[in-house]
Amino acid sequence: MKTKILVVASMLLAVVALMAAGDDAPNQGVRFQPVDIFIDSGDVPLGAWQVEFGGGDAVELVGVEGGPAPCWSEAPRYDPAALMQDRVVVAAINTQSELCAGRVGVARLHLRVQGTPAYTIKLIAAGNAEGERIEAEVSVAEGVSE
Amino acid sequence: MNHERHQSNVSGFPGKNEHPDLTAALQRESQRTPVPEALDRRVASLAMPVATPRHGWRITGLRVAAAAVVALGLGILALLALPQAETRQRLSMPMSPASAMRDVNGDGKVDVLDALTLARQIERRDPGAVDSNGDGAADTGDVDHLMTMIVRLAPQRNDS
Repeated sequence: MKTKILVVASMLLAVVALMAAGDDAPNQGVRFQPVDIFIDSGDVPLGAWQVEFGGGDAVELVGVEGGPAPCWSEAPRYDPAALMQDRVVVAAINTQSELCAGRVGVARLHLRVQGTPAYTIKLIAAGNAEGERIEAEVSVAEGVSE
Repeated sequence: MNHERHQSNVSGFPGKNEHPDLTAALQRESQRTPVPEALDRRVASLAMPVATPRHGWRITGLRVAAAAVVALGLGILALLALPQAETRQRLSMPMSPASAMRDVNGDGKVDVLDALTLARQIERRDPGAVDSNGDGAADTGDVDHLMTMIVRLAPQRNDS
């Protein structure tokens, strides 16, 4: 009888532990959070940009679209393999004549967040209309879901 | 004594000298109707098939319990290891001969500025425009190819 109890208890323990380890409180505290990427190129019209974004272990990338600035409304380039990961490299160029200067929203990332995100953003390159490297500042801000 | 105990363990039935007090008590109780030792052995041999399954089941149960514990451990280890297989980004591409062809602006880095420079070259029909995708022509396909290479995920390099 004791052996039966031991076997049943072990199996129950295994099932409970696997459920707990496999999916930590599934769907508990999950939210979808848009994050806007801003680049401030000062007085110089921005012709190209490339950034690396990270969100930490609590974040999974679920989508990328253009930013609110009309110059960058088209979706930027990124590797689809970055979907469901917490890091992504995003880049775009604009060969049109009308370019934006100052602080502009260049892209919006859609994230699945479970827990506390730790956003990191790094400007890899920014260029003027001819592709010459320029100084710029990059930042991120959580947006509002539409 | 040790030899007797060993034999009793093999047969599954205690020898007459293994529990002398019990044996003596039983013999006193059986004075009126002595039971031959051969009959005792016969009864013991008939009882063994009944006892064996319970003994075997206990061993099987312990094995199942041990297997469950081992499976639990392996499952937890596997689940802990999988999330660690994190793919990291590559910030700059290695300057191999192939990638050197994509360093359009010659600044030693392959990034989005090379793509824009190449796009401008193609707009101007610059004969020096790089055929980055190797299709024999310098066109917008080369810009797309370069952009794809720039944002591509790859294991992070340590020489950054």
